[in-house]
Amino acid sequence: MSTEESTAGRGEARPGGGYDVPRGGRSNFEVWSWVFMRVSGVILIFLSVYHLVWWNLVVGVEHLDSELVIDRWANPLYRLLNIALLTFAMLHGLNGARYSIEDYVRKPGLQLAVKGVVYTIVIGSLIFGIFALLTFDPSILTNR
Amino acid sequence: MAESRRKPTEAGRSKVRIRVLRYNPDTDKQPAYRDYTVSVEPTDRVLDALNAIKWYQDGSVTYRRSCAHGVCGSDAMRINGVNRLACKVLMRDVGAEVVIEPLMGFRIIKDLVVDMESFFAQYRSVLPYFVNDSRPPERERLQSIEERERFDDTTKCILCAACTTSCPSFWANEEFVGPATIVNAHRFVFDSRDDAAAPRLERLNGREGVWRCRTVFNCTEACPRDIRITQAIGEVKKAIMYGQIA
Repeated sequence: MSTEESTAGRGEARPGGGYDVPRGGRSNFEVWSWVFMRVSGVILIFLSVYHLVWWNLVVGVEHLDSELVIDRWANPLYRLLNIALLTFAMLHGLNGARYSIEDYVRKPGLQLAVKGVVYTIVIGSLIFGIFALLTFDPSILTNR
Repeated sequence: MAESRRKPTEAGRSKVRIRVLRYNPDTDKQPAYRDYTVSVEPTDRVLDALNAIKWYQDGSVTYRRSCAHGVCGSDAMRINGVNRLACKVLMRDVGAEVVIEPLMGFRIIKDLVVDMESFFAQYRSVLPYFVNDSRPPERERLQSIEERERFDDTTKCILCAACTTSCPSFWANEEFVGPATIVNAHRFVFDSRDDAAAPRLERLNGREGVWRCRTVFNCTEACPRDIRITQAIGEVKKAIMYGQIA
């Protein structure tokens, strides 16, 4: 929490009082977002542990080169696996960031602005990454 | 009678410095700490130390207390940075220097007395009472031991607000219903005799309802009744999830 909340706010009237009507009406968005966090979290454990342990420890960082990437991505299943890892990681992180923003950026206008910037960066890099994974052409590297 | 009473021994007593966050809205711009030194026994409670200050040193020190036995929930306060009931903490457990502050996140009315109106408004919003409009059976609405056990833990709440005011989500956003409200909703949602689970869960199925809980566990740590609050909140989340998805 900010210090402003704990000290300056003391002795002043606090907003709120009646809570009978939740803002924003009925929506199940938060339920789904909660389920998504749990499901994607479990999936990410397996995907990221595989990614980290297999490619960085078993294969070894020193052996990771473009040849290996070309070999691996020749199999569409690997591309799919990488798309899944990228998508779940980015969306899981994005939703976590949304939680923090909604908790701590309280001014509606500012919240919208911060969310806009974060969403643009995350969704933008997600689309960019998926695009790269789908359209990757080995000949770019092998013809060099 | 007089002989059987335990006399305070001089040897067992010690001087303790109590630092109280004082605030009088009529005269003070800001809350400020004031130090008091009191002589206490190890088995005295923090509430006894506060009473010693109020009764013998400074009558203006203001705090709530009622039953003084951990049942009414009046004297929840921050003791050495942790939400506790002053009547349930022994002086031997808090050291020679004690800092006492009001609960965080509420407006201070005076000294350790905070405005809990918003807290009770939240509490009221989840219908914290038994609802069943069907005609009762001849004698009473019976319940099995297992059905009673289902919500036994959350019946223990004394509404002291120690959980809610230890919750970072509540500090960040006072519109969050807070753990105490969810605990009291849980008590009726999982009562087999009760009929109003749906409106309670609907109230809690919002951004300011259970979903603002980030599973920090501060509430469970703070609860003077040892209610497994985070678990209760998890059960409410699951009840909403299965209600919406299944």
